[in-house]
Amino acid sequence: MTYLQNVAPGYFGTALTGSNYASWISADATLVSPSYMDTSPTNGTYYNHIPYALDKYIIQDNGFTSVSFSGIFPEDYWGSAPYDKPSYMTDGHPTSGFFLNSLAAGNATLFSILYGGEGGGHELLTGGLDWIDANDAGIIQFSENAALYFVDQLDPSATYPDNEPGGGAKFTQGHLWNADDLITGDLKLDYLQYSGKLPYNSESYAMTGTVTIDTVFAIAVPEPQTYALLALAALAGGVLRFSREPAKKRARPAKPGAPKRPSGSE
Amino acid sequence: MPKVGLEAAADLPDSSRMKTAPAILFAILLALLSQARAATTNTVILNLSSFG
Repeated sequence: MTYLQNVAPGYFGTALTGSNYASWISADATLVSPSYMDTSPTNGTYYNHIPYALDKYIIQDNGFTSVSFSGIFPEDYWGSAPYDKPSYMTDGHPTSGFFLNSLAAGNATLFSILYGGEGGGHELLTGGLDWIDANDAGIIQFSENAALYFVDQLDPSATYPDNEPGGGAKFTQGHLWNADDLITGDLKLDYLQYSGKLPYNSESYAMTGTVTIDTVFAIAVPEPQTYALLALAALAGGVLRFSREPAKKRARPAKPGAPKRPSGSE
Repeated sequence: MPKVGLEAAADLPDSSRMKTAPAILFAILLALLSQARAATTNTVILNLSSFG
């Protein structure tokens, strides 16, 4: 929500999450409540609740109807109504192309990772992808050392004065690749994850092991440039019409037999 | 029976073989070059300050 407000302040203002810590907590409490994500300490958040909760909060509650969503979820992640598949959602597994396009569009791009075994999952917000496709194969090979950048709420802060989050977001960097060096292979990731709690302990990091990126969900932000262009086009159209109006009237030939307008009526 | 390939090349006079060898090398080089593709950079990194 903070990202959306920051990239489109003219559109969102501070309606989504306010501008101070207390308002962030309040927005967070709303989003995890049963009518939204229905997050619980034991079960976490169900994947299929996330798109519905964000749609409800951003579009239905706050009226930001220019926001649109897209994403890729495995087909079997959907349940019965109201959590069946939204029309904008694609079945399948996240791709590097989706990440690149979504990042280039400036979307808020959320993705989930699935730990091996019974480890459950985790949701992250991506901030960048840096990948040199050395052989132009379209596959992120393990040896190409592609880097995915993201904000991890387990370790979100750039600084920890007094071992508490000090503000300023932090990008965590992970190693990203396509499984089995195949273009159809799932996206895999590993990274050094904060495993401690608060107060912050700089020693408490551990490698995740290989995790699978199993969903990706993008919130498209209205572009300020688009609004500026539309406004400019409307203005230009208005000026053109205003300036052409007398010329059109002058150029219009009088139809034979047509009644003449009384002069002085314009 | 007419000979083809290396067997045929072996029957060529020495002067012809001298011309054939560079041609074969050039063909191999072309084949290798067509296999090698340029790297593509796919980098999009958003402004960290937008995240909070």
